[in-house]
Amino acid sequence: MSKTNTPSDDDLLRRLTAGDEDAFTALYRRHQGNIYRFALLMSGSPATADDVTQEVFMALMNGKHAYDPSRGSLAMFLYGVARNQVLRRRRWERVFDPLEEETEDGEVVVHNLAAPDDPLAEIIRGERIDAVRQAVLALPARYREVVVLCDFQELSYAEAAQALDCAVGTVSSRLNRARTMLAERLRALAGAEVNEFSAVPLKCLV
Amino acid sequence: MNCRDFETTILSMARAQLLEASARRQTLAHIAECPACADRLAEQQALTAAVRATAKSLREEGASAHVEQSLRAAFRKRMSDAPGFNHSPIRARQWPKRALLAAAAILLLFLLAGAIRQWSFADQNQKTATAPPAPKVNEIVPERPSPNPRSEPETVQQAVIEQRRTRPTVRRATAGSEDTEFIALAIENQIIPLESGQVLRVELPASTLISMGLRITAEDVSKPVLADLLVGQDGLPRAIRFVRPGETVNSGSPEASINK
Repeated sequence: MSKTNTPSDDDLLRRLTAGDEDAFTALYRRHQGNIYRFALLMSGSPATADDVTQEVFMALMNGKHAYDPSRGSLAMFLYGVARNQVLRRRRWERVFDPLEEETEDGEVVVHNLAAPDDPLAEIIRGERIDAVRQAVLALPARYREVVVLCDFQELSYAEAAQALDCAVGTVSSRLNRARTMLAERLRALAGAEVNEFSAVPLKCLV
Repeated sequence: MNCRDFETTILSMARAQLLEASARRQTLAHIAECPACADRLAEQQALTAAVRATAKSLREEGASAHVEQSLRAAFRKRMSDAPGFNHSPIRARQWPKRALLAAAAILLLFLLAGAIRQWSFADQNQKTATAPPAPKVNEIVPERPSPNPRSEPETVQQAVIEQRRTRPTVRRATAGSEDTEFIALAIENQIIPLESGQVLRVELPASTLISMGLRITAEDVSKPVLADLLVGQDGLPRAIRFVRPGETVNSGSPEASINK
């Protein structure tokens, strides 16, 4: 049986406090992937995801948003900061270049999802995956974030509730509603193509 | 189970989460009878598969390398700009709590000290430096020791002898005088004025009288004498007077407090 010597987040934070760059780098490498993917799925833009990731760790470094261990894990704290950054950017982007329109019930109509230089197009192969991402991006933010956290990042309801600063029941009900909307959107976007991800033949998605 | 009940379990079923065995059985029984709910469950299961496939395709995604480089450069710059950098994202939030706790502890100590002080001297009258007439020095040598000495004579004696070296204006009580007033004890570098204090009844060797410049007979040298020691609010002795064995500070108590 091997004993791991991986330092905890709190250990790394203490070392960061003392000015240890390696500790900061270790923390960054440990969490940046999840934060980046969260921002990517929330914004649909790799450039925005990069910016959000950078802002999140700058905030951690500068103590702009104080982390309180008694209120949850560092990972959930970082998700919370990332979420605020995404929402803030989304507000600014709406002012200057509205890409989305919301219907009366809050559903988002996405006109243009990817920037011309979007490297994600090279990574994601297949229209089906693209369709799922488009459908996720079309969700209103409050539904999109629970889908991203619970379904894509596979957080528990309790963890998602920490990150979103809401009740566990709220997460559960939003996720239920979000998945219903997502299925409807997929039907409209991809038709029967989504079925191919599943072994179950689905008439309802045709 | 009806279609409404089915809504409470569909999410767990579709996401392949743990579900109570009986609930799972009832759900399966319901979809066997209800094609609409069966379709809905199949749709949600397909969605789960689609989402997981998408998530899997993103698993290796991460921020660009330049993000890490920028952050590390920013970290180094921050370090060089502020060599004493010790900011903690954790401490930033915790320090007000700690400060509050420390302040509360200090306040509690003050309150406790005040309460103890009041409790100790609640029933005692204040006694000022204008003391009642004291006996002649050559008559204050007690025949027997004080029945209630509460201070440490050695410490007090040392303090008196120490202060005697720089004793300033002292209304010197002579053996022939009728009264002995408090004799001020000069303290080097004394900067705190006397605002309040306590009078402690102590027992000292008669030789102390000599060190204070008082006369004493040879036969009394070996006998103890009683004295009232005025101790200031800072704990330092400020004045001393010698008393007759029968004289008490207040109701027989060896201690009294004074306040300005």
